[in-house]
Amino acid sequence: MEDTVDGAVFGARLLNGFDPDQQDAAWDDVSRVAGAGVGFGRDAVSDPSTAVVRVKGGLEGWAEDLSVKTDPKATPVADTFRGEVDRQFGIGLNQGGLLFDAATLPVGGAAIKGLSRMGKAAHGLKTVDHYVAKGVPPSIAAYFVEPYTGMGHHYLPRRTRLPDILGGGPIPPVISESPFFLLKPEGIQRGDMYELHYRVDPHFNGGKVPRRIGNVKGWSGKKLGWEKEDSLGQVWYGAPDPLKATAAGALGTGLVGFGAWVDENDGEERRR
Amino acid sequence: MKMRPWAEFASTLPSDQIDSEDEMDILQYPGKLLSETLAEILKGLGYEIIDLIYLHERGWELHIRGGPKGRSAFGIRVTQIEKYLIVLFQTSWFRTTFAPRHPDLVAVLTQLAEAMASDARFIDVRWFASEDVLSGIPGALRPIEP
Repeated sequence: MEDTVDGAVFGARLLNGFDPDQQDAAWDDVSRVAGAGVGFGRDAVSDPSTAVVRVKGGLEGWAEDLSVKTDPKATPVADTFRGEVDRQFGIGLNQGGLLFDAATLPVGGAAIKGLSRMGKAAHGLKTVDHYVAKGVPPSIAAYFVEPYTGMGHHYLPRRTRLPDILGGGPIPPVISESPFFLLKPEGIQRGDMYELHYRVDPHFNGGKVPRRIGNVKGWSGKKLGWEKEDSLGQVWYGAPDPLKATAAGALGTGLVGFGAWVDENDGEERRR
Repeated sequence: MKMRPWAEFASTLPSDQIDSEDEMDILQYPGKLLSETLAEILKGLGYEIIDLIYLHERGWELHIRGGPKGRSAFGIRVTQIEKYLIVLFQTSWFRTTFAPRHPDLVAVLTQLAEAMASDARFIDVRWFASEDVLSGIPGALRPIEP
């Protein structure tokens, strides 16, 4: 439920994002969310087998969990397209979460909040030798393999403000620190988290290390051979998986809903 | 026109990195003092200071607003590797995508570079294009090349 609320608040912000004072931030967020949907498509193209598993798993999940919350056909199709979009929006958010839960069944049925654990399982821990082999000074390599202790990657830029209609001010931590918007895989090492930051943050190129490291003062991603993502990659790799799944679910359900609305109205026409 | 939004330099400002007592970790990454100094300079140039946000290992980010209509929003990310490293950018996705060389961005970069060049607290300021920063090539004295 909390996950759905997080998604709904985000959705409300999108729908009210054209407040003049918040226009820039809204553009930022709209582009990111649209990008997440596009990113899901890119993922499907790059690895169709995964996409098939997800869709299949998702359909099975739907079959088992049909309810008013998630089944577009459990409630009447709206009279207008706008009304249908509104009806489908909430269903889409629920289905996004459901689709994701179902899709993760093969790896143990990870719930949305268990994503960080799944990330850990799928992620091999690096060794000092791994970094040294890439030319990283041993002292920095030893620092990189330590557990990451920072604040993680916030998907919503920390400068983002709520629209006035939602009270203005910074995004509440219950949203910005939720699994939807905070990427901080459990057990991730410093080096991996810094590389992730480097890849998806166009304004981050490196940083300092504690004084105990000795005569090496800091590290540069470019000098380590790390690469920056393009705009689409920044959106995709910077997004926590629950957000990707929900955005994809909402997008997919919107398309299904549009089809249902067209079918319904087409049927009405034929009946007349 | 070539734009170089990144600057690398040394500074006479004291280090404000705070390590834990055992020096095992960094409690506060450096850049707050430099960000506040840049804010003071930009305020003097007529820009409105919106806020300063701490981004942990990604440094500090200063947000300002200004330009002819007073509505252009910019961010300045401040980090330190060996020298200080800053980048000035437009916070508007629309402008970043469709007007990456917006006249207001050119103006604020030019103004900031001139102010830093004449301020003794900044030493050997060199400006870089995104693809050149930290690549080893020498930087330029000015951020904008017509």
